[in-house]
Amino acid sequence: MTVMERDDLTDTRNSVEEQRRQETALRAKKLRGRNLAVLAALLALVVLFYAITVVRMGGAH
Amino acid sequence: MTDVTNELALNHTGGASAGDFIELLKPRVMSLVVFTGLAGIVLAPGHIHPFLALVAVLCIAVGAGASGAINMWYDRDIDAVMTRTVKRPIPSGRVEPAEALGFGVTLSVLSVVVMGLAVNWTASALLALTIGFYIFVYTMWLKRRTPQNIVIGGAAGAFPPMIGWAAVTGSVDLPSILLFLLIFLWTPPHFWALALFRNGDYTRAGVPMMPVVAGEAATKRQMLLYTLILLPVAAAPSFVGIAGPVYLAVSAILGLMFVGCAVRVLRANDDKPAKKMFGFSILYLFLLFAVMMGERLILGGWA
Repeated sequence: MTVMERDDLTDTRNSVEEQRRQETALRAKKLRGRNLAVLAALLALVVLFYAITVVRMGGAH
Repeated sequence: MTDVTNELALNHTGGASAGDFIELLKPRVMSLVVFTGLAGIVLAPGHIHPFLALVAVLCIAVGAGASGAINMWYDRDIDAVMTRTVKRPIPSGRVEPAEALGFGVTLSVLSVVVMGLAVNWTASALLALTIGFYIFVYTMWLKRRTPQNIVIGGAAGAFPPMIGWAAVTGSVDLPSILLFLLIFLWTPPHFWALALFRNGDYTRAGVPMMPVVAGEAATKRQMLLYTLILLPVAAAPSFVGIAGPVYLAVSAILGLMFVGCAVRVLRANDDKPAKKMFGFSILYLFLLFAVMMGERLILGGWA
């Protein structure tokens, strides 16, 4: 194997690793975003039901 | 080229984002539904606690969005061949079909139950009817079978003011039926204007829209007919106590402009007048409801 071929191989390996790193980072970012959205939706639902109960028990229509 | 491929691959990595799920709710369609639903609440006689009015609007929005998500699940095959819809979350591979269905069904049930518990069961039943009508009658039954799909299916988009009205009154009354009719009769010219300049899309997808089946000339004649029928129907709220003289004048002017759009479309040989009519139709409906609400809020009740 020549020096040039070895350099090419190293470049390809680096590029694959870089892409894998990008994918992992993006996956983590999307998962985090989804989890935060679910958390926000659940909290909003709790607040909504609490507020509905307070208003309805206050005799409002 | 490799960069583009990598970017596409990265976009699909890790499944859907929260934004993809929001896109499933068709936010742009939702905005008009929310607006007309709010109009129903404002125009109805009687009183509703402002927070419960907000909950009613929220339920209408979520219910409409949920039915949009189920529609995208069912129509994913035709969405994939239409330019207008190919970038939607399911055909682009960002959201799995089953995820979209689960999301839509969960939100549908939630919106109907919350509407029933927080507001009243008449509004809740109307919301359930709207969601069911949009999914089963329009999406699954009519859309791929008949060029009248948008005429009958348009009822689903016409229910929101009726739901808003029922949220306040707990009933279905003549004025709320008129508001329903206004949107119901507006829908065909609005959608057919879109179909005229997206004809190729619908032909490719095999959706029997009126221009595809009956031809452009017949579609344009029917569009004109609907705008003419709309003239008295749009004016009617002034005669049943939910709008006043300002609205009557505005509805007449806008109605004549809408008829003018339809005449220009009828005479045209290119897409431009249809595109303009599509844009104007949205403004037309928005202004009618805005003036109705403005008159009620500024000048007080008519009912």
